[in-house]
Amino acid sequence: MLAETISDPMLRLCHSEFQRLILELDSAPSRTAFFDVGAVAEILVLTNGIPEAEGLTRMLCDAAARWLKSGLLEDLLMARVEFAYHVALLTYLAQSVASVSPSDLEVIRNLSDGRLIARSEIPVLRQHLITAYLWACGIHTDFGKLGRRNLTQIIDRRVLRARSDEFDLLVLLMCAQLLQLDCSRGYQGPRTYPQVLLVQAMRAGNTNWLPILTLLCRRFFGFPGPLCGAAFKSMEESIPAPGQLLPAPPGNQIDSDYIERTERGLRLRSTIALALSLALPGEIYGIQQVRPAFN
Amino acid sequence: MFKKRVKHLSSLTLNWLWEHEEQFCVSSQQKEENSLPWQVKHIVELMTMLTTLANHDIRSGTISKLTRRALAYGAEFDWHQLAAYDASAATVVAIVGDFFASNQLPSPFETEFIHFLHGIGFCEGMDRVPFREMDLAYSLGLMISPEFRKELPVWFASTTFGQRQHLTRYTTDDIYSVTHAVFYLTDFGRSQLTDLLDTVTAERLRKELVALTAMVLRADNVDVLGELLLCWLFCHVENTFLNRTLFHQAFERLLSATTTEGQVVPTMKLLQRAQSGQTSFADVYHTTLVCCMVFAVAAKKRMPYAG
Repeated sequence: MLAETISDPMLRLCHSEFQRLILELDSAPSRTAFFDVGAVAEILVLTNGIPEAEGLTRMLCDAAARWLKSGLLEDLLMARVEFAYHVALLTYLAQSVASVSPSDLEVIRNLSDGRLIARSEIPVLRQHLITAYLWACGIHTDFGKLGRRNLTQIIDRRVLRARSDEFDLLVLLMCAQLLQLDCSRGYQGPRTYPQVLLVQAMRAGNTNWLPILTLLCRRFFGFPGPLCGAAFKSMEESIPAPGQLLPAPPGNQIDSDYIERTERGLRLRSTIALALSLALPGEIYGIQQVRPAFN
Repeated sequence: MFKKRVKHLSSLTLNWLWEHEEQFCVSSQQKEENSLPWQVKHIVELMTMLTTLANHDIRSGTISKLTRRALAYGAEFDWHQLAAYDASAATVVAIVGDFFASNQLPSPFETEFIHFLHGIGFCEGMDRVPFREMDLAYSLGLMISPEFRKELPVWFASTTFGQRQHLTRYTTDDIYSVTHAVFYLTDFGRSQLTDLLDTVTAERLRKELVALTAMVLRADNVDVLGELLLCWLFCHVENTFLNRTLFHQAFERLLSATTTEGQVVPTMKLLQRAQSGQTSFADVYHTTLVCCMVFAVAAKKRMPYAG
């Protein structure tokens, strides 16, 4: 019922908005448009196996392949280190397009081998993700070790922070990607942090974070039944008006110089997550998780 | 003659810092929505300079006055609330504790509380860039156990230098990564690079410092140039004819960026504004602190590259 009346039109809206965004980046590449596309890509890469997401993912992969072939991704990678994470992600997605061949990666490989890209200071978690995506594309690079630290300390201990910003959610998105790529070095995922953020999002009425966290908990981090029911109820109550995307997160701030979170991308990615959650049949927690997790 | 000039500049910059000492007081004005609710950067950087000077046995009446004032400001602030507010504060409290210790005084906070925060993993719960991880390891080495110093070379391998960044691709932030790494690896000039690095890496680092100095000389950034020269002094770059020429030229740049009042401007573009009193404390204090350290340490070491 929800799928027919709400989710389908919402997905159609997301489709047309995303198409417009991609066309914008095609015709006039800009920093903002690139980060918008990157924010959407972070969600779509985690929707493997959800049929309703296939159209959007295919559109993104085709665009990524086009940008790889045209040299746009190389240009961005050379331009600023902040772009490296999303470029690595898009390069990885482009691999799924039949027309992309290993020779399309030659320039990026040479830039990497020549120490000309992604060697600037990048936060550790993102370093790991860039390495993982480039390795998956056959470009071998290693940004070093974690010392005595491990991902449990970097990710799980964030739960102790007295304040919260968009970076909290970004950390979980990156963590889920590492788990999906099986590059988490034995780390099984955070135990309570995602659930705590989910409760925080519900209590604060943060309708932008809610569907993202719901998706992440369902597929990667575990979703205790009562929490799942409450999250679904909250999402039902925050469905945007027809033709509208979800609002941006309140106080859309990020405590990092290394990435930009722009409103349009954040609204679109969350609306996609909401539409997918509502479209899924049956009990929301009845879906097989991608990896074994907490509960 | 040159040595005398350096000594004079050391006093001049110290005097300027003393004349602006009230600006180092911790304020509770939040500059930006996402920044810390307290402005502690100024006082902590002053403490870093004063600890470094003390560790190099550099003393003067002005240094003593500044030290007393910094201790008073440090004792007034509740460092616990800062430490509990943000994981990045681990560095701040480590510097404060070290400064008080270098003055034979107990920390102005409960060290047990910091041990507790460390024990629950609070300080680690943050995705930092590698040189900030070195920063944390250095801080934990001061506060918790010297064992943490062993992590410095491990994290160093992940920094921009460790990843063998191509020289043409170094950004200003990357150069700061190198200078800060040298500060931690040498304990601000108290130990040898080779205590923690193998000789090949140490030598590569010294050579990279020379190359980066040459590059920055062609740009307009006195702040990072000052930090690079401190690195020369802390890790004993080879004293060759070419290196002496480079060091001398870089030093001249610092001298020319110093106004008659003793402030040092971060870029030469700001010099004219500074000379007509149009710069703010925030514009110049960091470069002045850095260059004050360069002048004082160079004078103490009798200008090693003066040849």
